[in-house]
Amino acid sequence: MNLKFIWSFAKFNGLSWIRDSPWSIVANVITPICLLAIVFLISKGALVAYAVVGGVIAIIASTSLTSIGQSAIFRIEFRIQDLLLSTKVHILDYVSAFAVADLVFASPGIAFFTILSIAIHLFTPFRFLTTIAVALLLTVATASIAIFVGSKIKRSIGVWSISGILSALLTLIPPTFYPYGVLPKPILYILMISPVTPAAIILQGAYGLGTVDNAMWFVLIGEVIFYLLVVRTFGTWREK
Amino acid sequence: MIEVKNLTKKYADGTVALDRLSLRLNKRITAVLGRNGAGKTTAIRILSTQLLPTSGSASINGLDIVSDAGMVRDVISSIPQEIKPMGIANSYDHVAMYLNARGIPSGEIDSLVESALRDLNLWHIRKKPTADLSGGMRRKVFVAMALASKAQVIFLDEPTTGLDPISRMEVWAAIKKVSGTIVITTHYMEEAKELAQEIVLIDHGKKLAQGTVPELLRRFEGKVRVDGARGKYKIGTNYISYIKSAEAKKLLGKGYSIKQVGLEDLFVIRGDTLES
Repeated sequence: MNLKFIWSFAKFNGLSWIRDSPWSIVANVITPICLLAIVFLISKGALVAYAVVGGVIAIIASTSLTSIGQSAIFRIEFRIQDLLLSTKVHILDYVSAFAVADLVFASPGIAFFTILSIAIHLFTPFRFLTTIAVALLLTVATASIAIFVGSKIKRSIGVWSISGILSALLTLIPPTFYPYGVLPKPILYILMISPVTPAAIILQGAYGLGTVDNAMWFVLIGEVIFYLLVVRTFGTWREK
Repeated sequence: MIEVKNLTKKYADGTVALDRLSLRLNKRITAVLGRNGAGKTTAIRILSTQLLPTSGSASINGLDIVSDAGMVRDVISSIPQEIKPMGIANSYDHVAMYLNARGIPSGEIDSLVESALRDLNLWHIRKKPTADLSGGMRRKVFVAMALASKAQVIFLDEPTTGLDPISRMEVWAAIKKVSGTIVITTHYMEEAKELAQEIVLIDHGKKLAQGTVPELLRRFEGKVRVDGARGKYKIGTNYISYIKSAEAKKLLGKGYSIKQVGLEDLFVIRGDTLES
């Protein structure tokens, strides 16, 4: 693994945005905050804890899935993928670089929801560590999906639409902002295709909002490995 | 040394971008000239291990570009033609990121970046986001990447397109300082003449000619170019012919334009043998 490249790309594509474009941070957190407000109003505050925990997941997943558009644009328009292809960078370095950049860029949003969790007395060190572990796994899984999908897009027109649709489908339909227990089992199994689902079940369990299901760790880790293999094997890196 | 044998690239839509191209490049700087769509970029992308050929083979310093792609990437640096910088990051970070991607030791990166940015007169704006730079300045950031790379073979696909004359001269001066082998594609004949020890002309995916400028222009020896209403070659609404200098004098004042022959005329005749 080319760790120096991964970090320099993350600085480039994550830290620079935080430093030079504060509005992009606001744009990144605005949807989970709006959903939090809706959940608060509709449930009269009863389900707000779900939305706070879900907010962290939504920010991580949606940031990474936005990389669908970004990686496609980097390949088609900016030719950054060609530039890196002729170096020692491997496709998994590229995925890792996006994952770290995404995590860096999502960090203000994660911090915001962590502060909220402290405010509503949900925070404990164990829960925080669980959140960090889930965040890392979720970022790698969603970044792999993003780079894989992005590598298959042929034209830049419509890239952001594809990115937006997949981001909504994979982030908001799974039980991110509502209790996973309300879903019928077959639906829940179908939604397992998105790594957001096991991530949400783990965190809802850890925060005392649902039954603890340790098997979900295996599902999430399995999805990380699966999606890394998918992007490594089927992602377009060197063009044919 | 770059060796290309019968390299062919046929895209999925049926376009043949390279048609059994064979080349042997062993000069320090080689310029590949060709019209838009001639196959220059496809050739550079295949040699840079970015694109797989349909058939044929190529090697760089004895390493096969398909089976030894990983080792080829250790010795090459390639700057794509249409590359754009990521606006929010500055010039320094762009070059440093590229050197990290190439696996250059951390201790060497600062000095290499500084040297390349100074050579291209970008050092004073190294902290400015590339979004705030002019198009020419952005282009120079990528040339700086290649120059800082310490690669044995550097591919520069139209590095000076869009640059003003002074910036182009800065790029030329920086290219001349680099010690590795350089393959540069360009539309500019004067750039090829200024930089390259050898010129390759590509047209419709095939090699049209290869050699030094005098070698390539030998077939026009003693001739001038005549542009006017009549001639053997039609370019747009203009007719062109090549005639002996002595005969051209008779055409003076008759509405013809008489010019010295240049490299672009090789594209006009497209491999025809001129009558003596």
